[in-house]
Amino acid sequence: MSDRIKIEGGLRYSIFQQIGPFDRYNQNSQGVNIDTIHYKTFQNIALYGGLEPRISFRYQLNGESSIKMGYSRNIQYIHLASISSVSLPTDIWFPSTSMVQPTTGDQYALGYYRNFKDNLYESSIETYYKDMHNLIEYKNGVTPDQNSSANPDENFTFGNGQAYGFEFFLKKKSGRFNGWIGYTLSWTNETFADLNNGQTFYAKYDRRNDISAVANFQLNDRWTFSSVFVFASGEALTMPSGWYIVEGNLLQQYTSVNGYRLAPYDRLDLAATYTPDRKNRLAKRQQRFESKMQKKGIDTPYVDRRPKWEKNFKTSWTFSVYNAYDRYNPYFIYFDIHGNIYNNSLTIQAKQVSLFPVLPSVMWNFNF
Amino acid sequence: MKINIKYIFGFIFIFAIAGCQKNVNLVLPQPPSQICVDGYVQPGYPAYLFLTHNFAFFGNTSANSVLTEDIVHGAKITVNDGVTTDTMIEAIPTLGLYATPKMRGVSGRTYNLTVNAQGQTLTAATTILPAIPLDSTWFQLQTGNDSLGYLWAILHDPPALGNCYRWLVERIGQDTAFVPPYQSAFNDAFINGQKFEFFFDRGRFPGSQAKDDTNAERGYFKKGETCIIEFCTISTVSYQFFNEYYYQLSNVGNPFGSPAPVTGNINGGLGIWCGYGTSFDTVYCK
Repeated sequence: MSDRIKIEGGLRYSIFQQIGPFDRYNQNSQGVNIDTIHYKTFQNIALYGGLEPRISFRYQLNGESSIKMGYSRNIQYIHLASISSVSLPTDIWFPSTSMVQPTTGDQYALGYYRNFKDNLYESSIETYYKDMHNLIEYKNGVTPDQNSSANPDENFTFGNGQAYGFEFFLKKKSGRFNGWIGYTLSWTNETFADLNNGQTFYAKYDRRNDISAVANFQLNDRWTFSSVFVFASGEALTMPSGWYIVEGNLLQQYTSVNGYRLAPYDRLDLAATYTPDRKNRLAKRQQRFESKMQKKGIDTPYVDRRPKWEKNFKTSWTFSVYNAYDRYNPYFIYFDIHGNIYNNSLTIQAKQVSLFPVLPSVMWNFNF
Repeated sequence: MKINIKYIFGFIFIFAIAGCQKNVNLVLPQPPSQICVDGYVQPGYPAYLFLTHNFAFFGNTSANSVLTEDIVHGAKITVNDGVTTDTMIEAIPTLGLYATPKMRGVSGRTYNLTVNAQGQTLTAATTILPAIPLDSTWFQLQTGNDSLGYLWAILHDPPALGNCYRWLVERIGQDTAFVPPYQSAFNDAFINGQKFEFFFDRGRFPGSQAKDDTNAERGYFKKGETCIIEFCTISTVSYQFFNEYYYQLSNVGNPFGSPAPVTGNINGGLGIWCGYGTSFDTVYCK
């Protein structure tokens, strides 16, 4: 619109349709199938659609700073459903159906951006708020075998959520030492009438603090060092909190939904990259050739007769260490339960499983 | 030599998991103190009820500590069947077992329970549904075995949907009570209106160290035993409780299982107050 004001907008319309063949089992309040509706091939079962507008606004305060605002609406027709508290590739992506409405999200963002020292440094402070509707979670106590007598989407319950927070970012763009650091302070809540007695709880992916930092240092033409550090608050999950006895067996009680927080995740990766000095090698080669010719009394200039691919051949070695201080970040926790209370042999031991301890590696990179 | 690649990946996965596992000491939130009801009523018998309270996950781990610390004594418990109200007495205080001194279960009646203990009030209601007897019952040897087998039965499920059942067995002279096998509760979602054969293995008391519960006879009935089958109709709520109950028992310790809370019918507390519409069959294992 002007040098100072820039507005960008977009509009998208998406459609999702569930079609037959499909059998919908209708159940009574006791969970018993009382009727079956059969949908023929290509017969419409559910049709969803909606506008997904987005708009962003930038106001240039001066040559170094600006304010940006944005709004976007997204509609999602597939949903991630985790029956376990562990994130596994077996998590189910479930499409929208006549029972599972599309998830909608309205996100608002406002940020202040500023560069320093002739754009050597970039920085920003942003805040965001996202309103989510039709989120899905498994109902309490759903067992995997319950899919057999009913439609799988009967196992879900639906609710709403909010995510909001602040993001801080600082980047040094160039120089022998460069890198960036980002920090996010955020909350993600969900509210489901059928879960946690209707009370709001933290989402599984709620991360109160999240820090990422990248640093690169070029020692000379041959050696470059880099490091990555990440820190994130632990995942929220539901854990057992107590026992009670029915028919002589111990039954578990649980915390509120996602009422327990795993230990934080943090990790440092280090890398050193060695790039051989090709110019120096070429000069030495030329020097050797000319010295040889001189001894023979021949006066001829050095001509590089190598094929083009060899001339362009570049190589480097990267020596890296993933998880340099061998941090055992929790992937999941389970309880090793042995014995029983009747012969006083019951033992309960919490065990934490972690992935990827310290992993050194050497990598040879080449291109031509 | 052929090497199946999936075994290689499996080995790597197991190695990676096992190599990165360690014991941890967790500080779990303490559960709020709650009373647990484990009670039932059946035709012709007093209503029985075990009353305990919950304990922390890393709390009591022995029968002695449970018996001394977690049984609820001195509770005021009343049962109303729509006709009379009876107050339970502690029949076996050391086990936390209460019973109605006068009231006996009657099929078709609804039993309203009120428990007042430790400053808490719990309520629940259950109905003794009409019994649906088994058509026939028998003992059948397991294939390849000359003395061990299972108890079989034929059930003719009524046309109406929503019937739920539970199966318990007592071996005369051996068991001190009726014992439910694993997954002893089922409903008619798949067998509505059908006449069908089914069988159950032998259940055992939790923590049983009896010889035939720890050796190869575990789960089997034996030739020469006389068994009484208690076949019960139960409410859908009770069925759901036992379905979740067995699911949790099978799921304890499974890192990939979902949290499996068991939903009972006790308002203000934990557990189950269950009415059993009972029918009995005696089977001589031969």
